[in-house]
Amino acid sequence: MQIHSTEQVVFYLLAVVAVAAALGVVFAQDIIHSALFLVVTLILTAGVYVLLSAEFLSLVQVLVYGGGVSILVMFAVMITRVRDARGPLDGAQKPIAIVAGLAIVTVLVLMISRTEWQQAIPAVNRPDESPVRVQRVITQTDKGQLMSDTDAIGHDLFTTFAVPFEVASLVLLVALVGAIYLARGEEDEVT
Amino acid sequence: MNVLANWWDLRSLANPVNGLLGWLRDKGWDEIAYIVSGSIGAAAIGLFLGVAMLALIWVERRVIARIQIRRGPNRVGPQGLLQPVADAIKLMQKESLTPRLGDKWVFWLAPLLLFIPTVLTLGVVPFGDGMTVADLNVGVLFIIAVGSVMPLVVFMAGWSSNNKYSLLGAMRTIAMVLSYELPAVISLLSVVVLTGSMQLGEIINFQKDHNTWNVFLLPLPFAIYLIASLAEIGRSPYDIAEAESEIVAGYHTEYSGMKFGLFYAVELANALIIGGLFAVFFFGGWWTYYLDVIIPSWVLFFVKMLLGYWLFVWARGTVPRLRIDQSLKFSWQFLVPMGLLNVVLVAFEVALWYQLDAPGIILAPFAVINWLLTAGLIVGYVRLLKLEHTQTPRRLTLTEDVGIVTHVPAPSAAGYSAAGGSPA
Repeated sequence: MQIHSTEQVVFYLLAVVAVAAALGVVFAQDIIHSALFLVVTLILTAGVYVLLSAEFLSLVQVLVYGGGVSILVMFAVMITRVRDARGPLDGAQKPIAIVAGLAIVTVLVLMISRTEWQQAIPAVNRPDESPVRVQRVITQTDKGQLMSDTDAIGHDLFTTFAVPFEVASLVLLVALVGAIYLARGEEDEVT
Repeated sequence: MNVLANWWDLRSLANPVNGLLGWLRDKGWDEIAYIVSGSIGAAAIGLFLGVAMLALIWVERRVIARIQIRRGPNRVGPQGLLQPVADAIKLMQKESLTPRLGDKWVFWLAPLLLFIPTVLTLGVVPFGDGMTVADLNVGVLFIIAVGSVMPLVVFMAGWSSNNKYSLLGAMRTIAMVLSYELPAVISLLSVVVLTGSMQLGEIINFQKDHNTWNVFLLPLPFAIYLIASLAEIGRSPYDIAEAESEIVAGYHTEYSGMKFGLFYAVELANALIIGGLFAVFFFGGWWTYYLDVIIPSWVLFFVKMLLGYWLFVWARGTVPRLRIDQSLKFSWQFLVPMGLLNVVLVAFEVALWYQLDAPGIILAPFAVINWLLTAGLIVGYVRLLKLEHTQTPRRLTLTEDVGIVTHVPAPSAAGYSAAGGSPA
């Protein structure tokens, strides 16, 4: 394995810890530990996004998965009281789960191997004024203006991908209303 | 950026650092300059946190004591200044207990992890002109994202203690943080829409360029952010998570010694950081109407930061604790809709501004409109919800009992005053 840049070193550090944490999710005896390992994996994924210069996406990853989803998982685990059931949570669906897992691995490996990856790694250009300043991603709009990745995401969401964006928000709204309906229970119940 | 970019010009502490880095780069040691700048930033944050912790414990205890009409710590050192040091030594000497049936690893990790968001947030705070460790172009989002990990750590602390009070405290904290994160984010969204940037440096520059503080333009987001951030860091009147009369000490009931000290330190540091963020978002950061030409910008920033912190101490000393259902209801029913309406208003104004291509003076009518609409919205919404005044004790009975005479009662014939003493 040849090391080309500092980014690569950082990437391998992140990847090793993320994969180790992912293994921890599967092999941890306590289900709360599994959930905590899952959070580690998700947050380190955000680190990979930073390496790809997608700062906005990485922070949204931390916000949504580190802050929101992990708390939901924790609450679900805690309220369902599975804490007493220590040991591997095997069940009758174990053979099906193995097949499904292998199928997902096959698809992912095929996808990774068939993709044409960009060969040349762009060198880190260090701005002159301050070495600490984080490098900005600059993309161009059709008018030729320079944009940061936040602007680019906003621009694309409201022009090219306006319909999927609205559909996604509608789905979330439906889920929200459904959750409130389920949580309210019977009408005559005293809240 | 710098008025005089000489290394001895301490109006910006960035100047000596830049001088050193420039010298290193002239020598051709780019890598060393890179490492040195990072180390200086990290050391500065560590030093700042350490000194601030010691100072703030003293300030907090003395100010609270003043509010409660007592003296506070005044024995250790002059005016009790060494009391925080004594406290720290005491905490370090205490036995560090771990609950036998608790989860040892998670129990140990929680206080350590709790420090990470605090330190990371300090990394984007602009302490002065050019004195930011990393002025990210997504700074506001960074602060929100890093802060959002906090409830998870609190949950770890509460769950691993294997104590029902700890778990209840953790659940209360999570409910509070989740409810109040939304209004906080919405109010910051108003700031971002107005200034057009998520970079903290740019937000300050906007206020500098337009000769205004955001608080004049955005009164409602300021109020919402004040309340929401108080709730998020869990200080009184929102210290529901550690209400000692209800659930002992909340999620850190089982922690002792220095681990408890870490929870306490993080609470103080968060209050200080929120004070600094107030300064950045609403009070111009280090920029203060030409004062920053005479006074070093970092001094101005520290003053604003400490004033924000002092506001929190003041609130802690004077405002009674809320009930959890009251505070959650207040967030969802009042702060969130108000904040959303304000975002729409600000977005409309900014769109108008860009459409007209008007000069910056247009902000003056906007400010007037915003203040009027804020007052109107609050009054109208309270009427709409049919909320009533809940000031049931009309008279200040408590102060009368203490002996402060607010009115002289008419002499009564059969009262105890005639008997010459109160019945025991």
